[in-house]
Amino acid sequence: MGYLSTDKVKHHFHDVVIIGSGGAGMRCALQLADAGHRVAIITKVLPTRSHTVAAQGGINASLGNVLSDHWQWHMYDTIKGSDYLGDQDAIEYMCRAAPLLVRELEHQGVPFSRLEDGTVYQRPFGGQSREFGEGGQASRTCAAADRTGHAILHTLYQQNLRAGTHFYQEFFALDLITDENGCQGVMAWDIAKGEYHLFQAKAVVLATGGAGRVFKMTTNAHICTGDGGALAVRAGLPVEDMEFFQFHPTGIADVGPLITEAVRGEGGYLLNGDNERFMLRYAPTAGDLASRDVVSRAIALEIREGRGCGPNKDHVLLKLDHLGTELILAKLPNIHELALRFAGVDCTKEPIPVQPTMHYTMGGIPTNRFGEVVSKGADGVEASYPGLYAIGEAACVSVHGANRLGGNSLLEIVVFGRACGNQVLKRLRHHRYHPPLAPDCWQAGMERVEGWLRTAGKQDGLKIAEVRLRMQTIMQDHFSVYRTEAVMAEGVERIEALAAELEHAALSDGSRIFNTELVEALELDHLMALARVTAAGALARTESRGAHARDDYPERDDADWLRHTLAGIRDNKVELDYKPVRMQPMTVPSFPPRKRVY
Amino acid sequence: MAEMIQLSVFRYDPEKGGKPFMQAYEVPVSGPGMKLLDALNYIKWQLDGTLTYRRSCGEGVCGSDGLNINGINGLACITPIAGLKQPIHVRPLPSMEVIRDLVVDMDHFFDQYRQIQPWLQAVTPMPEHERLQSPAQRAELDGQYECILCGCCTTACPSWWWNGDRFLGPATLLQANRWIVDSRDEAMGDRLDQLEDAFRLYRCHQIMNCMEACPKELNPTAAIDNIKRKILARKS
Amino acid sequence: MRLVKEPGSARSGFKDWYLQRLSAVVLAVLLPMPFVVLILVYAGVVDQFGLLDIVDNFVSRLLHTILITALIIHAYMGLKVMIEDYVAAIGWRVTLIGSMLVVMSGFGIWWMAIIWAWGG
Repeated sequence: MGYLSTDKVKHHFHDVVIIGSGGAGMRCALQLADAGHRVAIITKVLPTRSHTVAAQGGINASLGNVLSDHWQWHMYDTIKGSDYLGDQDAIEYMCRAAPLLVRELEHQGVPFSRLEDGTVYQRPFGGQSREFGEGGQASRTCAAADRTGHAILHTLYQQNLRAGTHFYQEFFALDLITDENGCQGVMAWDIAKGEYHLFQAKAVVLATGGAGRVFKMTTNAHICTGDGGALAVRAGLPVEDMEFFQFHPTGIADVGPLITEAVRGEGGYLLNGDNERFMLRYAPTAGDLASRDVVSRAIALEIREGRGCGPNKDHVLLKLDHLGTELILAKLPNIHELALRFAGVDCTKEPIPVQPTMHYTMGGIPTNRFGEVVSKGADGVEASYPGLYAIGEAACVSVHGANRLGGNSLLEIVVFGRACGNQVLKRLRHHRYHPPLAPDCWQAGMERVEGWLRTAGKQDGLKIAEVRLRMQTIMQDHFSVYRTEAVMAEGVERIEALAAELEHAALSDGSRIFNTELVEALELDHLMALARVTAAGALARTESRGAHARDDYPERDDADWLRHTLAGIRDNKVELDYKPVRMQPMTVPSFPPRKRVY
Repeated sequence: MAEMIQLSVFRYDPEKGGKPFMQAYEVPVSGPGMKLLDALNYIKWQLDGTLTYRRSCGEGVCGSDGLNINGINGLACITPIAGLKQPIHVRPLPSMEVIRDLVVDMDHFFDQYRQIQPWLQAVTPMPEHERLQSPAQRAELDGQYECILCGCCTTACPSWWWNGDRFLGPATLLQANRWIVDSRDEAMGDRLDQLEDAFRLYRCHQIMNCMEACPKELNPTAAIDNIKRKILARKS
Repeated sequence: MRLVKEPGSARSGFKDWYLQRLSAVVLAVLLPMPFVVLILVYAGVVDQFGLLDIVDNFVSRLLHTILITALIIHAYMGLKVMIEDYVAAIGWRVTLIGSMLVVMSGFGIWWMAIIWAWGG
């Protein structure tokens, strides 16, 4: 019996389909595959190429191996770091689960660095404190040298090999299959063979990572194109808080690669053109280990006021040579390598030139703390969207709010990867069979590819790369560290105009076998959608909060803006909506907004 | 007028058929730190959209863009243009089946990785806390766990070229050793049983191309020697 | 699906590897000796009778035997590896390695016969 009205699409049946093979997707897959389910991971790259691999510094957990610690202190720091835009129930859940999950990672084989007593090494990181900000710097970030993400991603991949997860690698997800009963699966394109596949599943998990490539200067991989968020927007769902993009204080100047916060955790510090430790002025207590948004803005201010370094006075210096060669090579070997390769600097002797660089997407697909995608129903009440889940950087739970703390992203992916897996297990208990699909449900997905392929060889078409570069430049010029009404209004206009021009873009490659230009075009569709909602959301938010810093509204405005932005695209128009922040934790009293001082 | 670099890039399009050929390109130097990947990106984005290669992180940790550059395997994203003889010959990793241009089929490579059961195996129950490991025991893993599975070493190994179907190759054997030396892993005996084979392990003739090729400066030959010594020790 | 159906570990190879290294050590020690003797002959230190005394000596014969055995084992292992490397067809591999074994043992027996003066 044919299920679909075509034989050009191969129809697969899985219990669960996970899009994305980063840490979140793999942790979720592991939970489900170990429970005996037929799990498929669809990934547009090979499994160990996902961007989790580039995470350096570590993963936060209140193990208390170095200094006594408590998950409530971790929770306080995370909420304060989020500039009170984080949902406190999710944050409590994450911080409470952290020690359990880090130990679990260790049991799975992650080669964490060790302390003398054989327990996991923990280093200080930005924005961490003890006793609710009163007890000084905490030491909470568990590390595998400065390759923690690599260690975790490879371990999770290994565990999935053990558990027998099905990997469909180099498959690009084109379209979510939805009907009145929710999400039923996903259409995908086999990049290597040029064939269509429809994956029908009782649950679909979006674990596609961030959208850093909407900006020109980013520490993100080329593959971080926000595919999950854009698929959700295509399916008529909104995305949450997309105006909050974290700028990491220490990307290598001019080239981008990240220099981990662990450098400052281990004792490195920043210097301006006057050779001054300027962070002590901005954050007298935490100094160089203030929260990332604070440090980034301080660097931007120093540069703007003419105290930058170098011939163009466009960066500052990160000094770590005083730590000694031995410590650098033992604890920060990767940084040594990166600085040498990308800045041409031997960091055991000289400081590294750094500047704030786009690093993390706090926003994403709105979910609750079970990883279920939530949206407002027709009656205005928030409800979960059946069968659709989102986790990791692609999702907005929101545990990061307006600014993420270093070491919380690796934590988020394992905590919510697992939580989502458990929630999917519950769903699978009473969704035992694959329901019949509309026989034509494959068409929209196929049309995306065929539409692009039809443009191949078209005369006077715009180049994909050119449109993308223009989009990235607009976002960089109008929506980076400092934002104002006039600049952003112009940015919104330009990005909308460019989105309209995307229609005239054309491929030069009409091949079906490993057509990476086609993949870049599909990714550009995604980036453009997210750039539009980011721009609109940023313009509308008339306050400064976390990573969203405005010159014209320098203060946080809790009366009007202690709420999440929801932005979607309907009839090709960006629509904004808002929802309240969940201020009520699960078991402890709420942390009310306070002035944020480091 | 910017300084120009000459490249000669391997091209093969399975849909068009025909023989693979080398295509010449000219790319302007973008800056002193320019890497080969920047040049490939320039070609793809400005000159010829049909050029096909893999890339992801662009900073040498994901392992996507392993290529044969002027005859030596390496990662395009961390190979500086400055030190390369021109025209720069860029080819796919040797001995691999080419899907298109610079993209090769990695399935067998990952399949061999899976074969050594690369995950922690232990029979003692999990402790309440972490499995303890002293800094010295942890130091044994340095130079082992950093592997990014780019395939540069394995595809540089003549032994793997001749017997790649049965010889596991340096990358996989390095990972086998990574678990053998991990103090937490308790399956060393099984692992050695599985490795003790004239082809799987002993095809390594210490040619040492692998350690020359490794972009992360790891030494698979030393790891393979360690496995052989472990087998020797339990036999004598 | 696996691209290559892998036959699993044959629990082999260790002995080959071990013998090759062991024979290499023996060769490193013993192989210079005949050259030393030759040099002594050419230098005129040892004359024909002296040479015969050395060769006829029981210890020399024993060492000579060990040397030839090690040489054959080492050559056999090395050539076997090369055949395994470059000859893909299993039938050819077995045939070639088998004939090599016959020829080399024949050579070994012939040499032993000379050393120990069997039958004469």
